[in-house]
Amino acid sequence: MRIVVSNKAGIPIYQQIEDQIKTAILAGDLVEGTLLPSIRQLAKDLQISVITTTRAYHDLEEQGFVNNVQGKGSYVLGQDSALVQEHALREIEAHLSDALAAAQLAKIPVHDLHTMLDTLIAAESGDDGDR
Amino acid sequence: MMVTGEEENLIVVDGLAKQYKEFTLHGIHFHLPAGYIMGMIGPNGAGKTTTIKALLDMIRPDAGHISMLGASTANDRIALRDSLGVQLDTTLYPDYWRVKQVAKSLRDFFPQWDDAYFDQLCREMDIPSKTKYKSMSRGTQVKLQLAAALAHHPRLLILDEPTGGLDPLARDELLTRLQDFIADGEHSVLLSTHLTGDLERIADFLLYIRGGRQQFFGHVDDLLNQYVLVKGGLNELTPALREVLIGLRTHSEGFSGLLAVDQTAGLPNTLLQESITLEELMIYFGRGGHA
Amino acid sequence: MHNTLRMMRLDTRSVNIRNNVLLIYLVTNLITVALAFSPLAEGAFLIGFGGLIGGSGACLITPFVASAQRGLDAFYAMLPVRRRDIVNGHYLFAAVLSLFMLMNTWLIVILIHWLRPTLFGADLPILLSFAFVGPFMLLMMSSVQYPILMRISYEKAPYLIFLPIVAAGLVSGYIGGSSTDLLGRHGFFSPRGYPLLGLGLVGGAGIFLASLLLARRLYARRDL
Repeated sequence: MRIVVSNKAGIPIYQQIEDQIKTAILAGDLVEGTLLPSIRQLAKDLQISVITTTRAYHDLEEQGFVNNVQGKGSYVLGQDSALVQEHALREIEAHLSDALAAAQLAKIPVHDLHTMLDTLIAAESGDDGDR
Repeated sequence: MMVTGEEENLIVVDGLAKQYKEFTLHGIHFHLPAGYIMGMIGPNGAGKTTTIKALLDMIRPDAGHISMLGASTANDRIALRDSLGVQLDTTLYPDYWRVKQVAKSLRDFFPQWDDAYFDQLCREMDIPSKTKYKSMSRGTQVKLQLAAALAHHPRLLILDEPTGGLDPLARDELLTRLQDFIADGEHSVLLSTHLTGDLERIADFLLYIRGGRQQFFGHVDDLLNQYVLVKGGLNELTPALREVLIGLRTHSEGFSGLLAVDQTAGLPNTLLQESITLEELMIYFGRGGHA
Repeated sequence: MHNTLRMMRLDTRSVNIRNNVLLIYLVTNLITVALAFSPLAEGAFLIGFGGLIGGSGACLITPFVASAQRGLDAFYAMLPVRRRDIVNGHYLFAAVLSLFMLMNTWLIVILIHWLRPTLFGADLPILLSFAFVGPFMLLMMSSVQYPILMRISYEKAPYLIFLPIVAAGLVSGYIGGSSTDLLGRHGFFSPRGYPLLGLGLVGGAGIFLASLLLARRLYARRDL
């Protein structure tokens, strides 16, 4: 597993760890049942505090990505779990709300937003088609 | 959080107070569970060394309760010195001692003293064996103290400004060593430092003392999340904002200052809001304003 | 007791005191022996002079010992020894050093007497008496100096306090060694000398012990 943390990113380190593990799980790089490095091992490896690592693992568990078994370690959960779905939905909703707020600020009509999203989806699937 | 559960506290300090002629330390409360690193920060003369001296029974507190490694009386704590490794921010050994004398003398006192490990540490830290203690650089003196502190396999390390005299590489090595030390979840480290960058990364708990008073004890992130750094132009610095900014600094092009997160509601979008570092926290609080 | 011994050993290591003491005694001993065999040294006063060198050597060492303790309090605080053990160790160190001085002087005097019996003749007891002076002074100086050192730092220890003690030591030395009028040719080893010797030893031991107890109390309360 690849985890790289930046001290200059302006994003809290626990957030960076969470994001990278989530990405790896969602991309299928980490499959269900994989044992993650122990909290203390990861803290040592990344030269960060134990509490920071603990927080990242804790959040991941809360969001349904991993299962922390006391004394055993942290296992990756299946990415199709309802929790992950729900989390993804919440995240999408948050981003869309941001987009909506930005649109309101700039007085862009809602219709344009729909168009924009459709264009983006088309571009995305077009990219896929090229591959 | 998973950190909870039945944890053993290696240090518990409750209401520590000590009065001097020109300085008073009071209201110090903190605890350090086994398996963690705790940092102590604060400006010079804030009371960091006084706190450490109280833990080591070098001074007698006027009030408060100290429990270290489970021992709550001075004599009990002294009996447990074998489980405690200490590095102090003073010259500690007699001037003419060399590495050899340190080992020879400490071996007598610490049943768990490990000569092989001490030699290994001295080699790893590049401590010259032929140089007298007084002729060593400050950094090397600190390293020798650290090697001696680790060589009797303590459970708890108390370090006063261990990174001060060290170059960046040695500092990094020390931090790695400290992380290795606590990796099994049984050992803990308490260290005081000015170099807050080191702490931001590896410290689990933080004690922030200023002017003899405890400002904060808790997780580093929690402290940093309490404040934002606000920057903007002078025309944006309203009297109301001026009132609540901590350590306000103005210059001809603008201003900067710390602001408690709960005060940020309603700030104009044009103002820049940044997350802060421990160093910025100490600088802005040191400059004064509202605590 | 174990910790007291350990602390005493640490004291011997904390200055290069062992080397210093050995060096001073070696030099003193050599001078004394050399004097004994030099053609000039017919009078015992020269040997007495040698003894005095030994005595002043002790005086030189005392502040040395004291300075060794300066700044080491933090070091002691990290060791698994209680404060009273630390103080006990210092006093034991002073006592052992004094005993060592006494033994050394006796050894030298007896050695010279054995090698050249004619030199001292009947003066031997006086010389043996005289050997008490140096160690006695050392102990008395420690008795005054240590409690002060235990309470405040070395820099603040007032040296003037030692003057009366040095004077007292010199007077007792004069009585014990030189004043044949008062004690006769046998010095302390005479019917008139024994009570004085006994009084001196008991009094000295009393002062030393009182000083030890005082120092322990003072050190226990001190902020390091």
